Amino acid sequence: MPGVEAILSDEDFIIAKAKDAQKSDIFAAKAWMLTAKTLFPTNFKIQFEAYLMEKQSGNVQEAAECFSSLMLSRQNMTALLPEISAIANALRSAEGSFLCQMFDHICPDIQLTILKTSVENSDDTTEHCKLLVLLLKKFPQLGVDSLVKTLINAEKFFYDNRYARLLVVETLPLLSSLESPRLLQRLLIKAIDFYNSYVYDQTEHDISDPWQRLYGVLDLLGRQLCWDPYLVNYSNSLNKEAYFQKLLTLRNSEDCRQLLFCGVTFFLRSLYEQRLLKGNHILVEALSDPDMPQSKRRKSDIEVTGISAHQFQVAANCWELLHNNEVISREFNKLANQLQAKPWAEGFADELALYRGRYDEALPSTTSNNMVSCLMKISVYFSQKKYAASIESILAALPQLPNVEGMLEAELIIGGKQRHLHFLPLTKLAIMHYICTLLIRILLNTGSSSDLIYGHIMVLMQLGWPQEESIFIHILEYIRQKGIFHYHLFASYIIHIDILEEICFMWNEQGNNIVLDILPNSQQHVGQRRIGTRGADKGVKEDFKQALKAQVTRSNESTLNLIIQFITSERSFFLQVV
Amino acid sequence: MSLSDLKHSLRKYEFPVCAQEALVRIEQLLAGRTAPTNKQLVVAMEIISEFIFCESDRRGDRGRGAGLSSLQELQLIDILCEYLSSCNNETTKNTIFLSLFGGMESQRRLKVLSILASMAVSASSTPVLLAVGVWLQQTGCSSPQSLQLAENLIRDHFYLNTKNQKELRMLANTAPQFISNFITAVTELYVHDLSTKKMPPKNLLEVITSWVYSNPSLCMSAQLKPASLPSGSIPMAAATPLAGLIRWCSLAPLCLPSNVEDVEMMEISIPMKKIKLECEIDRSIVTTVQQKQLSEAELYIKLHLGVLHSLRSGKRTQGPPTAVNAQHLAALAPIVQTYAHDVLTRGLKLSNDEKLQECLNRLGQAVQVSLANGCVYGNVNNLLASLDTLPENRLLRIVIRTHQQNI
Repeated sequence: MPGVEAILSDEDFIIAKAKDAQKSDIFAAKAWMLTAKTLFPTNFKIQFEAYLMEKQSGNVQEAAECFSSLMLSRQNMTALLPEISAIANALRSAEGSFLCQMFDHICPDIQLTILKTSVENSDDTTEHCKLLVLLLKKFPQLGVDSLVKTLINAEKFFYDNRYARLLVVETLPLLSSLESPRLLQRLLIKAIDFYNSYVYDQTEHDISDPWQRLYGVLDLLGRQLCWDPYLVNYSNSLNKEAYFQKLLTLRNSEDCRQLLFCGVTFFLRSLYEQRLLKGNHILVEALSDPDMPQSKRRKSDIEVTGISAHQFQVAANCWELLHNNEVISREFNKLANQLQAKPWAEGFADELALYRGRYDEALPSTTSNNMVSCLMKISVYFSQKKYAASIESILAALPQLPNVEGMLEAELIIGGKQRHLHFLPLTKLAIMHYICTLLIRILLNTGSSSDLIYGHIMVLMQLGWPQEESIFIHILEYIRQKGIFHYHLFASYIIHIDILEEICFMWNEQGNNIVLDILPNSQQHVGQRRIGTRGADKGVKEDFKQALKAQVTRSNESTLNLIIQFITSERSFFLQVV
Repeated sequence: MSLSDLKHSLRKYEFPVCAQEALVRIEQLLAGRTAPTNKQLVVAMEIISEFIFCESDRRGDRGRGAGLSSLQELQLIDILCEYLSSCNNETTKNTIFLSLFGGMESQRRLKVLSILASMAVSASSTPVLLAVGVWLQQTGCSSPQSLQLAENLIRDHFYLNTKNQKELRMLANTAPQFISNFITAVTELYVHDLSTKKMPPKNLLEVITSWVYSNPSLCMSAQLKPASLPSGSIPMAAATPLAGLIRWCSLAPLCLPSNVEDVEMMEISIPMKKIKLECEIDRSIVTTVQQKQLSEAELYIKLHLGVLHSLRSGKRTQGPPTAVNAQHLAALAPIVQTYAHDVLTRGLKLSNDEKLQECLNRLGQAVQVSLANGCVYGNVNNLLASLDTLPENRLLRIVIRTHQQNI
């Protein structure tokens, strides 16, 4: 050893001594390093060795001191770079790691130097930006313009969502002021784009309050441009009615930016909520009945019911507000073109067309014959009074009914004269209920008041009973006046207990004076074997009672399947009736 | 009340009540707004002698006083403890304390003081310990009385009792001035020369190492916070334990029995490294982790590092250095030379003697860190010259060269 030691410089000799001591006793090694530091206070090598030794021993405070003096000496920064970037890495990833703890023990000035050096020496743009974010989180007073510009101008920015996330989620909350409204506007568009894509992304869930965050960004721009503070406040937007009314007041303002950005944000959010709620529902034209009591809630000329109706109407109204005039419409399209996700393109456009009564637009292409298209066609053709086409679509829909049974729809008919649209669930029962309701209207609208038509109507009304009770009463009245009723399908299809009871009651009430020709095999004997009421033919009367009893025993059968069977087998009738 | 009436009124009480009353009286006499007159001082001393230590009778005859029985000693200590603890003026407390125990001559009083100090250590009574610290400083830490007190404390707390280390370690935080002066006195008791090789007991070494290593400012605390003394008294220069500790650590390699050391080294050298590194890391994460038991040789290494850290904080921002006397360091040279001479007479090479080289390395480190931090007062040239007479050692060469340039 002495021979080796002799050729070493004084510094290297002491470092060698320290390293040698480190093998057996850390205290001895530290004593050597301490001595070395006082002998060569400006020697980088010694300072760095001292740092490494403290780091290896896990002494946070001492390592921080050593590293601070290394940073302060400002010599040999290149040799420190790996350590600096290791610290920056630790800060971004490993909370509580040794280097993080050490960083916390370093005074802020030197912390800043460390982070700045790290930023200046990173080549990778993502890395660079992440470091900047880190820097700004630790030192918010530095301002963020440079960071934001770096991010926006990054080449990959527009197709790499990680950048957008970095910018929108990490950086924007750090912004308290930004000198340029133009830049801020670009940021806001970026933020709208990011969150609008994010909420539809099934794979990412880590941001819990995207809309609230977006309103935060809106607030930044709003404050700079002196917007109405009401409109940029997230919690205000929760009351959709009031918020929309406020938006409406901006309709004719000169600078359309406030309406544009607040309106688009509000629109996208309402639309998102509507899409979320809507699920397996489809918007169809439903019915309104002027004779029924008017619903209290709505004054507008169109009423929408069912799941997501409220959000849909807000989104639809908002959409119209954003297309209110040429200027705002152009601005909206410009903004929309910059968004990656265009959630209104699917479904909403068709719904909107239907909502506005633009039936041709709402009509699916003639070649499309799936369940949803059929329903749309049924709905649109019905509204256009193209009943034959509507019935064709009904017949096309029947073999495609979904397996999920579902429930009856309570809101297919509402009181009032306004147009009525309804979000119909795609379940077997709901669709059949809708189809029956329309078919009844179609049959009524043929104008002919034949026994066959009324009989069919009675079959159809069983499913949604007592939805069509008033029509049934009308039919009973018709039979009473006419005194005779032929319907040979009665035994096959009329099984509803209420209907059976009413008919039975009427028959009794009228002293058996009504002729009900409803037995399946009676068609050929119409002349001879009427179910009379004049006491002429007791046997026939008994037959009628027996027949009704037989129907009553069937009243537990599924009307749903019975009616599907009915429409299917009466196919040719329906195709001819209109 | 006249001064004679004062004594007269105290005579109405029996011991220990008279001692209690006497403390109140002498406080009135000595700690008034103005400095006491000579007459008042004399009376106060008489009261202390007659009513507190019962050394003289009413006619002031020394030697005729009954003195205190062992039980009375304890009663007195109890009264003193209570009085000192409840005294909320530091100057008054120190004034009374120095009046009680300041006289150099009485072995009886020194005995009472020793028991009082020992009890205060047991009870971690900070006010009493701080007063004892001031007493040590004013009496001189290396005075025979101080050394006797220190020996008594060592006997009571570092030989008989070894389960009190946790409490003892805490004292460095609560009464640092006392601990600093106590260590200064203790350093005088051990590791003086290589012939007797009187080494501190391991328990004491452990506690001192812990004190110094964990509190780098401890050794300077007596100097950093001057004692509150009665007006008109002359404060004694506060000594630091640093020079004494440097002597311990530097000479330890020469003094520790080599066979034991070798056995220890062999036993532990291989697994030691690992365990110690882990310990170090653990310490930074979980500070409560119990440190591994160190051997004496290792304790001296750790203490040495603690001393170096203390020297670093011994730098004064203004005024001349006060921490280490150059002469004390220079005095180590002859001891080392004696050892070197022995080695040579055994026909061995000095550069191959690991103990000697370790001693010189530590001495070189301590001198270097002291000088670099401006801790050394006195004749530095003389110190360097005496280091120059030591056997060849590269670090010492570097240190001497560096500082000769600077002078």
